[in-house]
Amino acid sequence: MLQKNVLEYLASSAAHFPNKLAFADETSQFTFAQLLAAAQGLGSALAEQSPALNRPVVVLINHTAANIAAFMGVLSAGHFYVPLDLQMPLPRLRGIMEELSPAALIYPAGNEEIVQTLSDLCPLMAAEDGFSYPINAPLLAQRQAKILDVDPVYAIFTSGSTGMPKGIVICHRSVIDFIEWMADACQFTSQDVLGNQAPFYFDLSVKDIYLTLKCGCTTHIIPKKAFLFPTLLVDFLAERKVSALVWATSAFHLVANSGVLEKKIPSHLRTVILGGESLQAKQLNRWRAALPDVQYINLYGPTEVTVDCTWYPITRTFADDERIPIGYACANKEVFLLDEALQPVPPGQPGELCVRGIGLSKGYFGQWDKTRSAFIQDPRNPSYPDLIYRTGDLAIMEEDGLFTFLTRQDGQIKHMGYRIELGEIETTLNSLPTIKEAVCFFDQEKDRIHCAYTGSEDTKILAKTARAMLPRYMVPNLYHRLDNMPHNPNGKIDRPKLKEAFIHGSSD
Amino acid sequence: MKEQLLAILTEAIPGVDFETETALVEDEILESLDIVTIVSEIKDAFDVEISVDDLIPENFNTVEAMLALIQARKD
Repeated sequence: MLQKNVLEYLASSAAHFPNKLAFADETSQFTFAQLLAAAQGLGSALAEQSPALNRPVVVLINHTAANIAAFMGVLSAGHFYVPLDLQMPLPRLRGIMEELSPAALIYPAGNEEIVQTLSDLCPLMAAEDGFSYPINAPLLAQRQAKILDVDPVYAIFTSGSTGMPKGIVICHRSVIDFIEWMADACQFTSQDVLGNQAPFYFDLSVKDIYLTLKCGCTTHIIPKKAFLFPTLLVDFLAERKVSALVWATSAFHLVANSGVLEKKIPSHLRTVILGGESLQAKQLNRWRAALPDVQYINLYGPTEVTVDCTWYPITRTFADDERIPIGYACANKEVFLLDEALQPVPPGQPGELCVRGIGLSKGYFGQWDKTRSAFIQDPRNPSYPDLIYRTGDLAIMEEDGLFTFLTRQDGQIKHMGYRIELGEIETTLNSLPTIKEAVCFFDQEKDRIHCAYTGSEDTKILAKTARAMLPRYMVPNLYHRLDNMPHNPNGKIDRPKLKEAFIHGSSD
Repeated sequence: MKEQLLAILTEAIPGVDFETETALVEDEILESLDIVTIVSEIKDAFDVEISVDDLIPENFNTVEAMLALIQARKD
């Protein structure tokens, strides 16, 4: 029978491989049977708290195996999880919580001091207390029976251009559709051992989590410190016999740039799967020189289409300065290009990349206008409702359906592996009383966010304030205090002039 | 040399008072992409070779430790 709920993956692996290690971090681990039991305990505690179904439950992430058990617990209760970084600045966390009004907040025990300030918004529960709660199997079964395949699994928040992050809601059917394709296309089996890099509030991690649950593999969560010191990383992967990496491209580039691969290699690898940013041939070539027998695969897709929508297995050598394609459409997803008038674009011409299929998100949580402008009726179909998602990415397609990413159409950037709207940083900085006007722009070559501003604030203090208000990856790297903001004849801020002065010019 | 190093660090990780921090690694002020970025800029700015074997926590916990590493590779 066709699966309808991602929990079926967990139930099946717990039945087939009860004592096999499912997820492990530096200090704790869960076998599949333990994961199921912990999830059912936490699920029971949540379910007994409130009769409603399909409500958001925030799970604060400290990148441990227990986070996955908490996700499964939320789903067991018939809710969906919203993973948020435990280290996120509190005002931002509070803003998101207010928008969500979640049924509960699950946090890693030991962080009571942080979460107490949020207790006015919803009930709080330490994950570990939930795991040991007595299981109420009849109640869970009753609730599960009411969950449809179009009900949400998770909502993942990404940066929003007007200052408020957007919660992208993804349903069971979409995750199952994607994972079934990926497990098959990338040949995952229960023999695989994954090395998890992506934080669980980042949708790249959906691949590690659900491939492990579906196939009965093992995922080792790589400690943060290993990415600072690449020799530790290679030792970690070798010791745990990691066979598959599903990583953000920036982490892959980092390892190549560190020079570690010329000294030692993780010898059990069979495949490296990348996504999240443009893959650079120069760094790919360093990996291929060190590990020529590994299958490298480049994936592409925004969170709104459920992880990825195109894929490109690397089968040939690329020159260092050659652009690597994002590849062909994944199964059961249509990928195509439209021009500004929403007319189809012929092969060889640039156009906005659009996606159609069951993988499309249900929309942005609580943001109807934004949902309506990003998810529109397929302009090629005048006959019945049929939505497509406009990615805002410019791409080009060859005759055989091979896509290559060109650039973004708007102020969205990729920095340190994250998708960021510069407008959100600007809105946050412009809310400060000491700032008259703040504008951000991005130096792609050096991977630096610049902030030019007018107002009385000292640049050092502004940097500190930004760090307290924004996630680390959104804090501008360079600050330019101006007497006057340059404007063009239409009265708009002259961004090209600022970029010219501070990126291409001799700087301040 | 210290001023130059502080400028590199402040640009890479804005909003941190580097002179007072004593556990940049353990306190997770340095994150995944930082060391490789910082090292590549140190190499350019001070014209030194820093090998992958130098990338250990002890060399990066404080500004002084980083200065000592740069000095050692200069000599």
